[in-house]
Amino acid sequence: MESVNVRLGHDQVLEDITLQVEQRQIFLIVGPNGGGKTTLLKTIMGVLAPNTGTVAVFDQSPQTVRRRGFFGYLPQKGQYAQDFPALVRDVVAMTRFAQKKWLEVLTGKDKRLIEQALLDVDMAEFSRHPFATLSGGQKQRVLIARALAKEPRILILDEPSTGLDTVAQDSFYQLLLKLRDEQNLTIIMVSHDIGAVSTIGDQIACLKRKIHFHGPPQACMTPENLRKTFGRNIHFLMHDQNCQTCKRRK
Amino acid sequence: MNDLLHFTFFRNALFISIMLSLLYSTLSFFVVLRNMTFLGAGIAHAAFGGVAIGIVLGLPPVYTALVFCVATALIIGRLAQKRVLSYDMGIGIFFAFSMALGAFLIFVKKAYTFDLSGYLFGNILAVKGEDLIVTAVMLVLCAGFIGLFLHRLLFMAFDETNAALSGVPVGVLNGLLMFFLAAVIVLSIKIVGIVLVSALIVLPASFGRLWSHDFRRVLAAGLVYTLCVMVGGLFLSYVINTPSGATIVILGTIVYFAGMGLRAGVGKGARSQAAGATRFNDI
Repeated sequence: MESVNVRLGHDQVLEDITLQVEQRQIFLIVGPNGGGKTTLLKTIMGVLAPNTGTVAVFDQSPQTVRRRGFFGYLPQKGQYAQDFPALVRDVVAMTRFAQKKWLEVLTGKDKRLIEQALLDVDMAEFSRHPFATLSGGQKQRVLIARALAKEPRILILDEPSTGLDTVAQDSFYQLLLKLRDEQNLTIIMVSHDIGAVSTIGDQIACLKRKIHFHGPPQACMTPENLRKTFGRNIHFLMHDQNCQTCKRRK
Repeated sequence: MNDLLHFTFFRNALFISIMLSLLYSTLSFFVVLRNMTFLGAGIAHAAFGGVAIGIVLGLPPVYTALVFCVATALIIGRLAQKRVLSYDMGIGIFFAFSMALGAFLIFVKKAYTFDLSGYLFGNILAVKGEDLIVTAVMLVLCAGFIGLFLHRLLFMAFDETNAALSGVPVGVLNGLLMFFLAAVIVLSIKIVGIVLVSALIVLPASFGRLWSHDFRRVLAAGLVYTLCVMVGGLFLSYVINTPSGATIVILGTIVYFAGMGLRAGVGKGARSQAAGATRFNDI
């Protein structure tokens, strides 16, 4: 993505964005509400065309990549029907059906992909459960399975941890690490939760209309970058398995 | 009851009710799931403007209403899709405009002699053989549409943005859904009436959702409910000599709330049984 500018109506939502995402990495985009995170995802997927600048995915246009089904997308919580009357396997099958022609039915390969996707997210035993009765964390896993059933090369997640408790969040992040390592997926994830996501990302971009930082997560957490991105003084405490304070206490 | 079936007008009304039940229960599912229940009321009231245009121009009111409603539904859908107006705003504006247009045209034409009450609340005597043919054609077309695109329509109802990203032709399917909804509403005018038809766009799926979290069962329960309410309401309206539309909608609402009460009772029973089992296990 090079020198990309996106205007929506009269608003300049993205300004001079230059980014490079490496394959098989977890790339995090953090920033405040209204900072342009979802717009950036839509631009990457070719849903929005930049006013100026260029976007290329695997050296092709995002639209071509989208048509070839390389993007797996997990929407924000409010974007899908939480109480939808369908079984888990029906929800996962949606992306397979979307790739079929008019009168085509699901083949053995499609069914295997659906089963495998549910196995990958540890939800195979819930295959015949109603989607509406699952917990928030389980629903997120099913939606990841739905994206995986499409056989994507890039997984794009928009605020996936919203509404999850700490245990469900941690379990969800472990799943993302597993998918990156075992399925060689490139994962691009948007969040405003810098504390939690900075522990799993390989690269991070702080976005508030412009990119204020782009690099490894630890180097991002300087008071200057946080102030530029979130617009006020933030004191950031890093707590993960390498937490120095916890080690000293032990 | 056998005597009743000897009357051609009643047989026509019965057949059209059965066909409309199939259409209501299917379309209701997508309308309710997509939180577009107000759209049914909006399109139904738009039919009043279409009927008035037919009367003023001396054309068959059902056909002018059909064209007017389809156009209104497509305009509302297009404006919502382009984010010019939300669904609610578009419906609110066109709802009032169409009613006002109808009242205006009837006043200007001084056409007070036509059966206004029949259009507003239904009149089974008005159902003709040609209405059966048009409804049967619409049923075949709608069944084909749902059969071909069921899973894409489900994807769209679940998560429209992602469906579009995955290659589902969201704009075309939305347009077709609006067309069938408008057509079914207009075809229902004679049996249920403009004012009451929106209830039958909401009730079937709402009833079905009381009983299951699986769309197959929601659709099946909605269909059984609609058939019972339409056919039962039709016979009842004849027996107690009341307007068919009003009788069907009152019966449908009573059955819906009875179902809701029964469902709550079943849920409560299951919960207390589970609590009893837990207590027993504790001992």
